[in-house]
Amino acid sequence: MNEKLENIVKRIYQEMSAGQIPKVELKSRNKENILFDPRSSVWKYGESTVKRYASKANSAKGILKMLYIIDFVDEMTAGLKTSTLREMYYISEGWNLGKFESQDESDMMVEDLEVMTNYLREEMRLRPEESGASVIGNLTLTELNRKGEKKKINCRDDVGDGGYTIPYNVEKEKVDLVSADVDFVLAIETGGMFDRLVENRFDEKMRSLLVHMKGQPSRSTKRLLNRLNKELGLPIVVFTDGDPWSFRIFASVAYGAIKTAHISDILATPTSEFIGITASDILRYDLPTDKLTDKDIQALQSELEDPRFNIPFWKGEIETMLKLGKKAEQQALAKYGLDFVTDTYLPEKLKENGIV
Amino acid sequence: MTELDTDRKEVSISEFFDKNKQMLGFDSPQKALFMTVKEAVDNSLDACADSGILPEITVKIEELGKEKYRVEVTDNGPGIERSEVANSFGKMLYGSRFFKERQTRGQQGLGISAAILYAQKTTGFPTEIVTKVEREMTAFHFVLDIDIKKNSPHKISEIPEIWDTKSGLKITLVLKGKYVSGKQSVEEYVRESAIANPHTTFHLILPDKAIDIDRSVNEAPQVPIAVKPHPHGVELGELISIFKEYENQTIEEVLEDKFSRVTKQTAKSIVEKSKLKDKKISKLTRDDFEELMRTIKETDFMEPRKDCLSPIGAEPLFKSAINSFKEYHPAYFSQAVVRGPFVFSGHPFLVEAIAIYGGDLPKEDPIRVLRFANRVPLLYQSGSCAITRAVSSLAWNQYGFSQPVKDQLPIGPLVIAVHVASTKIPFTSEAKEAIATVPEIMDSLDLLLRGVARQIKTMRKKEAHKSQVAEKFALIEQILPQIAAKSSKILNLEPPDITPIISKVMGVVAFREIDGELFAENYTEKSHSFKVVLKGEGTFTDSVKNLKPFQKVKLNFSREIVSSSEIYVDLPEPILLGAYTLPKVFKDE
Ligand SMILES: Nc1ncnc2c1ncn2[C@@H]1O[C@H](COP(=O)(O)OP(=O)(O)OP(=O)(O)O)[C@@H](O)[C@H]1O
Ligand SMILES: [Mg+2]
Repeated sequence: MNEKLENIVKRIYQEMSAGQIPKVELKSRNKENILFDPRSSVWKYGESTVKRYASKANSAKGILKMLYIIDFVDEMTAGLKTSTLREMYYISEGWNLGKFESQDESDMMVEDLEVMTNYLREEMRLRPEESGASVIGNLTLTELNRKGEKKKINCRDDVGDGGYTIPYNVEKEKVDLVSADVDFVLAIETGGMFDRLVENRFDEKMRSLLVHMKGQPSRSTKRLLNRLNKELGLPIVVFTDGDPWSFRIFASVAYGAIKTAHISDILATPTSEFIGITASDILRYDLPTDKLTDKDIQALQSELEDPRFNIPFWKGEIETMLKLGKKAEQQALAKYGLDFVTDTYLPEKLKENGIV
Repeated sequence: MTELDTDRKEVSISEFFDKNKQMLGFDSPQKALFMTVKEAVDNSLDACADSGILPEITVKIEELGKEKYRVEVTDNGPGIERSEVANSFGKMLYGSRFFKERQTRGQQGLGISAAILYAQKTTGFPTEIVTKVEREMTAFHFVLDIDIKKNSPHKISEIPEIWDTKSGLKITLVLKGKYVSGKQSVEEYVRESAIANPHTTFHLILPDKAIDIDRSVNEAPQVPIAVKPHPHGVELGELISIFKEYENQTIEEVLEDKFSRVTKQTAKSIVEKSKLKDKKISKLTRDDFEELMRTIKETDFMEPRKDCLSPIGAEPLFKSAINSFKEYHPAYFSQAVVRGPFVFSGHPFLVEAIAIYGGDLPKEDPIRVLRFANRVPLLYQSGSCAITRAVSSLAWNQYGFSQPVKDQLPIGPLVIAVHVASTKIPFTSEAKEAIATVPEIMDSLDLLLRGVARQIKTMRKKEAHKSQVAEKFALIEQILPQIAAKSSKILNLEPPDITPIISKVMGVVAFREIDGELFAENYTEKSHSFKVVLKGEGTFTDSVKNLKPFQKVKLNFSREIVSSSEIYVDLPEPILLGAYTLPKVFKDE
């Protein structure tokens, strides 16, 4: 059994044997205890901790639920099985008083366990519903498949036009990065743009690795970007639509999210660069636009308060967008033809940002 | 008609109501459909009540075209004699309830004829009535409408028909209407009727659904007794009609015979005081009648008889409330409370109520008030009704409900059903939609509602205690043992003994109900002696000597007392669970 998980159980058991009210202790997940760490530029937990004592019915139930999860993880490990978070929530139907009221509650508790043990939920064999993103380009890796064999894959030559699909667990024991013959990684928000770059062979022409984030990227996509940057030294360039929500996609790739503050170190890549679409691009390339909605405007205004956007570049772009009252999609670049993005826009912007 | 009216052009009563439909409640197609069903159902229930029959009533509504509906109401009542059909249904102000004081739904002899008149005016269809009395072999099928100018029935046909029933009446009308569900609908009317008439079975066949409501009690209520009117209860017009009916008797005789609580002596002194001695009734002028009326008002009589009223009754009301609200899974029902009879202007009346609290009833909305007059649900004009006013004027925050605006309904998951029964309900209009705010009725409602609200308050307090107690016991009896079992199973070790933890997490003397009996359990580390006082309708006391740690005793109270009282104990609050600390005042008693 996993040692850190076992330790939680041991502590509870020992406290009970000593006639004490059992408890669990973990970092406070209160908003006040989540801080933007300027040194590493990511969200992190502060120092305050909370103790949950079994003297109240609710916290006691929490402890019981935690024990059930630990036992369940143990069972899966023994049987080499994995389960989705949703499956676990349904399985908890059979856990007596340990049954969860909602999937939100069970997801939260898995995060609690991550916070307590520093184990990733992926390592606890629990995975999210969403499918992983895809990768195309000259990257070679090995993946441990269902049969327990390490399979070598080149993400340009061994895959179809859909690319290599990122599994939910991209930790070393599952995916090993062997080598990459590219200059940078381009993380793309939309499927339409990803397919355009693939068709135009942008990966070969500009020696890049294309990653399709599928909107807000999953944990495994962010983790892979983090490893590509750390282990292979590749710069990460983020290419999204030009609207407040896409700006947030960039921020979560670069600086992490509040929900995953306990693992920001392994999920966030603070050196990521945002390439566009920026508000200035809208003006410079005279792109087709949509009007900002009230929600968009609110989102932009709250971004002005967000420490992650507290640098002159972002302040300028956000204010410009507010002034314009307009937003634009990545695919708006097609105004100048199908090749414009690969022949003109990206090369120009990459050069200006000092990436090529 | 009095002399004053003679030179005016006589307007037939039917003509008058034809022009003033809204007076009778037929002011929109939606309301007309509702009123039609209501008038027919009320009559069926009255007819059954008169003869002590357990009613089974079927209401069927069919859509015939745009805003055109056929309404058919069938009952198993006594039916009506052939010779009476035409007048009862085709003539306004013709009913079986005049010169008698009795608790019935119908009062005016107006209701069903108004519906017939409305149907005929809006669709041209006459009304069909099939009725059978027990004595006859066959039923008779009438088709009739109303001659508006003459206020007289116009019989189109009358043919015998086979109807396999002991007795009953079926009425079919075709009218311009609008079918709705929800508030102020036929469905709501019938559902509420079922609450006020627990002995009735209803079958509802609506355009979009069919509903069966079974009776909740199997005994017909006592047939309400008819009594002669109390002299303080009659108005001038009524007084004149009664006297005209008996023109060949003396004034004294009529006073003594046709009114209740008038002795020979009082009759004599009234006549003398009014200076009408030896006057013939036929010679009485309007001024004479007014004088007579004044004297009557000044005279003291014994209060009217009160045994002529028929309440729904605490038991049946409780049962029908449970039946009607079970789908909301209420947390509790109050006891039904009946108060009275009391008297207003010579008419006896009584009031009764029940409250239903919690469960799935809406928490954020104003409470729901169900109003009933002589067992008839009132769905319109709630703002001007004595019942709504009485409910609103209670200081609800004293009973734990928020009342954002004074004199408005409070907010909370509460339904209160209130019934006013009387030989003469003082309605605010002929449409019989709201009860007038007569001071005597308001006072009695206030008292009644306080009682019901107090019950709800006690139960809510108890409920809070109960859930605290239940939570603590779930902790020590289930959750902690499961934690112990699970952790030891994961580690492959023996389960730890959790008794020391139990007294740590509890640290109290707990009072809990098990199967309606009250138990005290000591989960502290010391022994305790204490007094237990139950406060509800009365005060009851028991004491416990030297209850040792982990010991449990049953207290000496009946289930009934336990379920309706708050628990007080002379132990300090921090070591008490499921009870209040006994206040000083109590202790000294
Ligand atoms: N279903 C029925 N069974 C037997 N008799 C009935 C039935 N419906 C009506 N009647 C008779 O017809 C009479 C007239 O009914 P109608 O509804 O017009 O007046 P009401 O019920 O006396 O007073 P109100 O105007 O207050 O309703 C009743 O008094 C009753 O005698
Ligand atoms: Mg009637």
